[in-house]
Amino acid sequence: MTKTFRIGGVHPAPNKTASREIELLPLPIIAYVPLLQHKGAPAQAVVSRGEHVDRGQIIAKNASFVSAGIHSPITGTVKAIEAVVMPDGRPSTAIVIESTEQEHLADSTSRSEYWQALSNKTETCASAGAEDIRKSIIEAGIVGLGGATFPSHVKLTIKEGERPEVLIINGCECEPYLMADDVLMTNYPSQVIAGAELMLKAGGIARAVIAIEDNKPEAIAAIRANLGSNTNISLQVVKTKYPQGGEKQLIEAVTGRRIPSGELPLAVGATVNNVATAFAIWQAVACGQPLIERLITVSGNIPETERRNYIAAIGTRLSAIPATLPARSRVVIGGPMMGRSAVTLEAPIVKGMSGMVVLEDKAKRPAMACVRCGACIEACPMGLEPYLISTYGRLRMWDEARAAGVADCIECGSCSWSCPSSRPILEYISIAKKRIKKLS
Amino acid sequence: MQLILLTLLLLGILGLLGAVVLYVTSQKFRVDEDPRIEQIVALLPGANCGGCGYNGCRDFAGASVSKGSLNGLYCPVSGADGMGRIAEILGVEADVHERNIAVLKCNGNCKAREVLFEYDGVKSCKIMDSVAVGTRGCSFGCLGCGDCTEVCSFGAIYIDNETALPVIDTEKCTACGACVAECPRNLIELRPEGKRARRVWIACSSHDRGAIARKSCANACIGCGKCKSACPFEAIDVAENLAYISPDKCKTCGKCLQVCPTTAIQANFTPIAKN
Amino acid sequence: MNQAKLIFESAPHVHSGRTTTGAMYHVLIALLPAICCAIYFFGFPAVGVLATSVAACVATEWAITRFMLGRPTTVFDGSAILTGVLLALNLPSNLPLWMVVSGAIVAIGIAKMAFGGLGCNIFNPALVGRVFLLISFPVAMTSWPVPFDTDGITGPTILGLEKLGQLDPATLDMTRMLRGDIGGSMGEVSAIALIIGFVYLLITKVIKWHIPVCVVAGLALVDICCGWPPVADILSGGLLLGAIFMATDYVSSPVTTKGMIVYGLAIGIITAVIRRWGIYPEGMSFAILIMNGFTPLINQYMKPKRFSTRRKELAV
Repeated sequence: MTKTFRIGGVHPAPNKTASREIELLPLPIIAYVPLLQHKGAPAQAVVSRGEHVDRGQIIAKNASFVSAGIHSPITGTVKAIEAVVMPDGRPSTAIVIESTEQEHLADSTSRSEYWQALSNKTETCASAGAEDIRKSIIEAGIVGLGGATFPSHVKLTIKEGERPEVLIINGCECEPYLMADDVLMTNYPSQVIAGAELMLKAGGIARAVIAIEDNKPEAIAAIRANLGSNTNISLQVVKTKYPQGGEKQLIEAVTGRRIPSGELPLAVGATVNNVATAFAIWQAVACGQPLIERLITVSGNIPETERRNYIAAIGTRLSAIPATLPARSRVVIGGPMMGRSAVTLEAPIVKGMSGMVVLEDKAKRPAMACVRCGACIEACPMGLEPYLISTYGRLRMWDEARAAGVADCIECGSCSWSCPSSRPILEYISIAKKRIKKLS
Repeated sequence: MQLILLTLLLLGILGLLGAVVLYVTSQKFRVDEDPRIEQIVALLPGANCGGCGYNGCRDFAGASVSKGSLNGLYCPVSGADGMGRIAEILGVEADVHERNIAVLKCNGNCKAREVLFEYDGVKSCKIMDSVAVGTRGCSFGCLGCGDCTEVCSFGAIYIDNETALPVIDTEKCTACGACVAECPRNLIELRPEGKRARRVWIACSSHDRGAIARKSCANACIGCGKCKSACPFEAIDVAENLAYISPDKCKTCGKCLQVCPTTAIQANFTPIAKN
Repeated sequence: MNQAKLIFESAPHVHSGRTTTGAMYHVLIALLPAICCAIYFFGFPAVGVLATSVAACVATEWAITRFMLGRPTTVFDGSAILTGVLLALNLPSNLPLWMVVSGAIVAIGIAKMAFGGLGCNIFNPALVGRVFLLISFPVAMTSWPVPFDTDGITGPTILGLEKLGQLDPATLDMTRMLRGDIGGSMGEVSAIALIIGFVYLLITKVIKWHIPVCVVAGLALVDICCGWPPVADILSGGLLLGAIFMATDYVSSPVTTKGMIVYGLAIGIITAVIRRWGIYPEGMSFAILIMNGFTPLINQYMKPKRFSTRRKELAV
């Protein structure tokens, strides 16, 4: 039976047309590795200019508990530690590493071999203890790869009395265009499941549920086929509806429980992690591979041959991705519903990037008056009244916005997507949210 | 004819009755208010701008009467003259207040900062600050959409088309603080008007390191500290790559203006050049 | 990767493709069967009333936006045209054209533009225009032409006869009422045409089923309680036209489905009450206008169900 969340939700055109074959995006000659690719304190560099680093070597340590380490994606010499521009135009401090031709060749060869052999590697590391697993996670610099980039060891360090009863592995990938999680589960199902087992052990959690949207039959079949012997991990197929992959909505679909306003998933006995995170954790524990590359989807208004799922190294410049962009394009990092516009392709790929979607330049329709049609209310998965909160935000009525529940908004974009008057609903809700947060 | 007269009579009586009822109720339910409040309200500008910190002019008048003194009460729009007259009504001394003026701590005009990318979205500073670093590079600088101009009740601030920066009309500015609260990047500061209406301030709010700041904007403060060394009154402090001139210590001598390598320091007068 | 100009925009970067103007034009398409029936039954005068009404509405909106407001014109968003058509369909086909024009000016000028234009009107503009005409020109507005007539014969409507006690509703010929060769305003006569329009609007997801169904339900409820045959009542007068096209106007109707149910039921009940116990034979327009006034209140109290329950001690 396909479960789903009960309030709201929309059905954007899926457009999942990228090739299902995974390709290795060539390693960069120069890698730009930002120190802040996660939530929490930026990592602190442990290498300096001129130092030689190997692929996979740690180059920055986590600054505090809520922080993550960074590892070098290529073998080379540290050229500089300087400001590098991010996709949204903001500068961020990064470690710049340059490799020689031989180093590049050697890395690429060993990388190909690694990935070729990976499908057959099925170590589950059942003997590893919880403490060891968490240590491996920290040492591999693993963060939530669903986009939130929360340091994973923090989420799995749970006090005895607060253990959730279920770990949900999020394989929904509800955003249009993106397919990275889908092809990951299809090609590496046993490894994903093994990763889930490791997470259960690390967090001391009793059972896990891998949730997949019903528009991914290959992934569902692959996971189902490999779940044979696991009694504590099950598969839950959920209805394809945006934003099914949102934490709150996913927990409701799988467990039927709703997180109260302002609370965390632990409050209802659940915790959610992305499938890519589970895979990264397995890679760290079973293969000793730190987080230096990940699957991303490149799709959108580009020739069919360029719509692919790549394994891309952190630090690769976006311009290295083969894509023939329209003369005027709107490039989105992430999915088109919640992703952010990229204004420069000189920016590097970071841990939290799940894809790049190129959209043609279609100017946003000019906003018309709100006609109170109720489309946004029907769409809102949190049961709010977006048109009202947006107006409060625009008119600076912060108290009324708070009373209308703006703090509950998950900024999924369903409201703006569905508005027939093309009003900038989400923008004003975001500033109301920020202001309320600042004021409280 | 009779009908018309009867109608007129009836309506006249009804009108009179109505007038009597209104009069009686207005007397019976009258709220006794200190008459000085009305007098003070008449003296106040009536803009209800909130610059005094109270909910409008009537609230300010009520507060001043109930307090019995003008301690801590100041209407920036009325200024010293207006406060003096209010003080007379209350029979107290008005506090001595210097006039404040709003200044813009950003000089990133079109020549100094490039437009880095095309922005297709709502033209509002608050929104641009929230979703985009701004089309102009510097993550601290003015976004030029004019949110500040929308909240000014005195028409004292407008966006200059050539520089794409807000310009403050010193005649009309009452330092009510509305634009200060509105700017999402806190670029506007209320500074004292200064002796002989001269003031100097650092027209930059960038905390980026010198090289980065200069890359984004030719007029940025690079935190070099030359102004700090040049100031004979120790009025300038440099913290987090940004200089700041303390208005109380500054004597508007203009020495800092001469040494600044990037024209990040602004003055509203031309200091006499000393070579 | 080639060089390209990258443009920044806020999330979300995709859109459902539905537009308000598109919705207006869908409603116009849904009204085509009723318009065709109007022309078929009432002939050339119907075309005249329709054309005049639409032209007057569009001209009023254009003139007000251009000369009084100094804003770019909004006539192309379809709402003025729609108001023109809806107003015309509520009028008898023999109404003098100058009255049609005055109704249009009131509908657009007062009921819509004076309140702030599209999205800001409290009352349904077409209905305000119609009620204005009804109150100002009661004779002209209640002389209903007989279908297919070329001699200018007019006669009372079914509801009118029922109100005078001259017609027993149990004797009505339902098929005639469904088809539409009965007396009445241009758009209300053919029930089938209106129902086709309703189905079209449901398929294109322009309206939800709640309001029309609840209006009919409310009316039927009162009718059953006082022993009046409900089906005849539903098919007579402007009930279907009002329930499907007037009460469902986005701006003047509630915004949540809970609210729509209350709103629809109330309209149906008030209409039935006016028809049975009021002086007017037809109660639909008044019922809708009354409930339009209640819409803000309904919106205030019928809020959608929130996902998150509030923590009791959450003061913020």
